[in-house]
Amino acid sequence: MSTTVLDRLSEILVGYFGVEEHEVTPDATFAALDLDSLAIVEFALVLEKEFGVVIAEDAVTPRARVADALALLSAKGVGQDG
Amino acid sequence: MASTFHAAVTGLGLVTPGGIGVEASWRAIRAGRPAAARDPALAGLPVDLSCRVPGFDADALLGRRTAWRLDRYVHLALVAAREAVADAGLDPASWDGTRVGVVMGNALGGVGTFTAQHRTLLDEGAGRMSSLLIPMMGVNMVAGYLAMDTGAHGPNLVTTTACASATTAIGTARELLRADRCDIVLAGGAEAGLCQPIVAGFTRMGALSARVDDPAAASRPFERHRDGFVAAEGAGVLVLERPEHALARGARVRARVSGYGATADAHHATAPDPTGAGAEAAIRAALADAELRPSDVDHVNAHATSTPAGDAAEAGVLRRLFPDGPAVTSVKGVTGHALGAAGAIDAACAVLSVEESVVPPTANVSGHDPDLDIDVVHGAARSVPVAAATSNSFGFGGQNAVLVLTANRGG
Repeated sequence: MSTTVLDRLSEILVGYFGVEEHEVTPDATFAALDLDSLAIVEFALVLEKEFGVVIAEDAVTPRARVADALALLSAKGVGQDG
Repeated sequence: MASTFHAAVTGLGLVTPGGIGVEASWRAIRAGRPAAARDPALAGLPVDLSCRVPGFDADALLGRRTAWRLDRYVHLALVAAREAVADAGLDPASWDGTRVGVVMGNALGGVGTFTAQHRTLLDEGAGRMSSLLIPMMGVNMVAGYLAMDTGAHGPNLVTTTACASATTAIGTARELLRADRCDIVLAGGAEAGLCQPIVAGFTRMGALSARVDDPAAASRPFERHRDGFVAAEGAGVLVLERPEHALARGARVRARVSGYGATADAHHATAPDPTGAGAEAAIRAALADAELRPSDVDHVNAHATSTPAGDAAEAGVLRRLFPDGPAVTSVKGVTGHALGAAGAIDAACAVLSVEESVVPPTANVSGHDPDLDIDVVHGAARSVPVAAATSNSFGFGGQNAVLVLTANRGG
């Protein structure tokens, strides 16, 4: 697999939300990346479009970590076949 | 007896179709270089002309982290406000934010965001709409975001009087300073309404120039063959201070806002009162507030959007009110009409005219029009001492607002 799910998540956070690349670590909370409760809704929307999955409104919160979003996507089968 | 209150103008910021920043904007306006062009975003409309801010990249200027959350009208305002604050030599990190207010003019809010999100609603459903729609489109939000950017905790509001919005904002800001509610107010206006429904709506009103085959000649205030305005975007911010505050910190006072008048035509939704009574009363009120006579006015930065009726009505008022014939100009020949930002762009230019003793030309005017019979500066900028100027704004709804700008000479 040439591009990991974390890479793609990082691209979204950097490209769409203006987060610095070095900030995107598995342990970083979204709040620490300046994604507040409004921004996190937008983030979930972008994930839905990017990965073709449905994400419940409260599935990702500002207090969640990047690793939690990865686990959520993995549970939905993202990354299994690239 | 209360004496005249001179609010000190200590900083300017401009983002206009002439360029980004005061210097680029003023250079284009002084040169009389029209910005109007065919606009790909308006393709397919009967009138697809606009005046856009050239090369405005919000991500580059503000950072993507800030820019993605904001409508373009707030982008323009933030860039202008930061320039104005820096120009004033102020540091928001160290000022007493409780004494800093923000009063911005705006007419249309984040209408570009609204239009795009409405399209998403129709095409993809409510579940695909942005959670940021409401905070991006609110007319009030520009003042809120300027406060967040600068730590301005004082009075915070947006005035909306159509094309007079920014002039109303600056006048209202001066009132806050006069009442000692603030030491500093960031005052001006911002607008970014260049989307299809808005331009099509103005077209249906017959308000826009239809000169699509000759864009550079389309915006022609006070010119005989004028046929309406060219819609524009932009922002202007003035840092206003109580004179004692400016003096105490040794600020450079670029000019002063010495008078403000506001009236209503109470006549018609969009047509100006042909007698010009409301406009004249606003100018008289502003002059009375500044304790000046009409003969003291050297320069008029006119509203003059280049609609046939509006310019004729304003010229009639100027003829009647100013027998000495001050140097009149409308920067809208260059910038087009930026609606809720127009008054701030005009006022900033009037400040520069006061400061530099120069009145920019009205683009696309080639000679004296005996029907209007006012002294419209044309062809090239004119060197003329400007001790006092009026900046006129007349909005749809019959809302009139006028500022008096004066040179900082004692008093």
